[in-house]
Amino acid sequence: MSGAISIAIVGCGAVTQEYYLPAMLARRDRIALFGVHDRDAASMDAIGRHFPGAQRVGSFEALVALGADLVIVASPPSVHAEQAIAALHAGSHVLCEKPMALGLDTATAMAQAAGAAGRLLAVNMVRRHLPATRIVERLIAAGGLGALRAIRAFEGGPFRWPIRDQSYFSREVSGGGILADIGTHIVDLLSLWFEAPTFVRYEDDAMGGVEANALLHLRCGDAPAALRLSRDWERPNAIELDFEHGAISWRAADVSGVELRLKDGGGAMRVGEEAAFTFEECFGAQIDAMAEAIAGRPARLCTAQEALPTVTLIERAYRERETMAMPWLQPVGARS
Amino acid sequence: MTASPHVVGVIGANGFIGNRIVEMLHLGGVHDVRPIVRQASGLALASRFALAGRIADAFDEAAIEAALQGCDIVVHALAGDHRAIVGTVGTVYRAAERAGCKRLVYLSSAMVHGQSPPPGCDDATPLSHKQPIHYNLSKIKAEERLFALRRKRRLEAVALRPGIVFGPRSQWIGGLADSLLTGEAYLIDGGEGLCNAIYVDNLVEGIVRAFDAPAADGEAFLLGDAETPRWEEVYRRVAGAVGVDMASVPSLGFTAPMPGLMDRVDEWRQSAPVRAALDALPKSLSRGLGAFWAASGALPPPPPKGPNPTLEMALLQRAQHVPGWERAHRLLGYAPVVQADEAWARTLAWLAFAGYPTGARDG
Repeated sequence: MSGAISIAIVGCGAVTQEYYLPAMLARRDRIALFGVHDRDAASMDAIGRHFPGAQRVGSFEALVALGADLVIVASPPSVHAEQAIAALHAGSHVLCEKPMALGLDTATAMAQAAGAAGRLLAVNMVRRHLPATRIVERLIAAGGLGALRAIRAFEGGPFRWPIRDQSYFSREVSGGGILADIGTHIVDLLSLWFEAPTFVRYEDDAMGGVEANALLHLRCGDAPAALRLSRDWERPNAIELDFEHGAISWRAADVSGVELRLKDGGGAMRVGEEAAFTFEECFGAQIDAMAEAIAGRPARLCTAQEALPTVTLIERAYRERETMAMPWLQPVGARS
Repeated sequence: MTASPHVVGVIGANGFIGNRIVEMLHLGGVHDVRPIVRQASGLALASRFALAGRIADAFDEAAIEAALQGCDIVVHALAGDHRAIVGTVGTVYRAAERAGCKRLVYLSSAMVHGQSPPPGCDDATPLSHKQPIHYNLSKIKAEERLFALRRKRRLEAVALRPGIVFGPRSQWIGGLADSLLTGEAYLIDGGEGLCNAIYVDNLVEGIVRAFDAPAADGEAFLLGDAETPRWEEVYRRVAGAVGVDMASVPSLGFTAPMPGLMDRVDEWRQSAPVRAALDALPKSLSRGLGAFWAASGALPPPPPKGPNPTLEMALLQRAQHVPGWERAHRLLGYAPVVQADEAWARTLAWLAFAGYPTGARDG
């Protein structure tokens, strides 16, 4: 395993079990899992048992002391900053799950810690690795579609992510609800495809807790963007980009391609890759990209610095949130 | 609603009806409500209110008992297949009794009388075990278990029998909108049959009435709305909201086919024990078995695109009688609190909120 990148993982919950584990198993010849840490022993075992050389350590400090090249921070967002900064100080590079931090202050501190340590801190904006989002990027860069006119997105469905407990739905732990979770991905993609979007208005359905439904209005240059997010009801998950001369429609279920429609006729066509690709493979691609970057080679990553505008926008949305209109919600005759 | 405050555990709080119970009890400000779900992910909607939920599988008596500690009322609103419908009544009853609850309100269904109930059918009509729809038989069995337990034990029990429960997040609404938009919707015989509709808030009103009504213990009650629409009207309201021309919705006849060998094989494959066994297998192996089934030709072919009428829908849309809820009015003090126009206004507002193309909202 000479030349393999060594990895330590903090947080062995759903994202690690569902996505990082298969990605690492597929890369046994290229990675060495030094250790794992989670407050839940069963979750730690679920990862550790696949890697006989991996230590299951009882504290985050012990994990950092293993001296891995890369620490993957897959713990709840409330501890991302503390853990990422500690790992950077210890000399590791860090791949942090999204949302990077609960606010701009802590996110900035994380980016500064990476700079001071001379280490890489990247945020796992995993959708950047999907063939479909790369195709969108290339179609836009080709320029033939003309000016962007409007963006509409609907994403979500009944929430089925195998979380461990209700703390996931705590603002103090997760930073918010679906906006912090899925909204972060979409804002990141818009930032990648266009100039950084600016905030217009935000509303959600939180009533003392965290939102299950959200509607974020942005502007990308002159174009309005409406992002509707839901943990509630299944609708076709799609991002629609309307341009002067055509439109791109990306359905999240199609990880490998998009639909392109040109306004001068010709109907709709699928632009995509035929090679099989799964969402899970993005996590492998992300690990590969980290290894490339650590080796000093160019890689497709979202650095901490690059992630700051998204953190800023999400934070502002929550600060200026309004309650969505839900005229069916109040029971007839209920106390207001 | 009645004003006696209770601590109410809602089992199945993530479902359409369970969620609305949680919303109404919490927003109503009279009762404390405790959502109970099988998996933590099921607390996504309850967490809008920062309500502390409990994670407990309704098959796990000890877990349900722990989840119900401190509750005096439990509402069993769990949806599911035959195994879940029948298998959780006893566990929940015994757990609630041990947890010190006073009363269990069980969500049964008007379908215990069939999708096309006979003329004159009402609360007093004996239930028939000769019905072609398995769901109906499951609900009958569940009620029988519930009341058998009640006869032997202490915990009070009430069963409620709503018909077609509609409103925000109802599959009867969202699912109908989906099928209208995909061209899969159809009417049977022009949708002239009666729809035994009840707006979900009216059902919750009935549930709350059942918390305290002294004469309700050990009884089952039909519940309904003040108005009874025809199915065509239900379709027309939803189609109008999502911009589908009712002229494009075909009116079909229906003749029930006899189940063939493939249907029986598929029914076995979908049965709870087989599915449980498949669920226990590693993902790669269960995927492989799925591919085997597909390749073996033992599965029924996927239905063709477009309308695929079912026996259940045919029976529903041919209904000529809707059992009344006079007994619920008399013994529970039940009366609908939301009338049809308001119920539909609320329902269609939700369709826009949920992202359907109603043209009513930007986003």
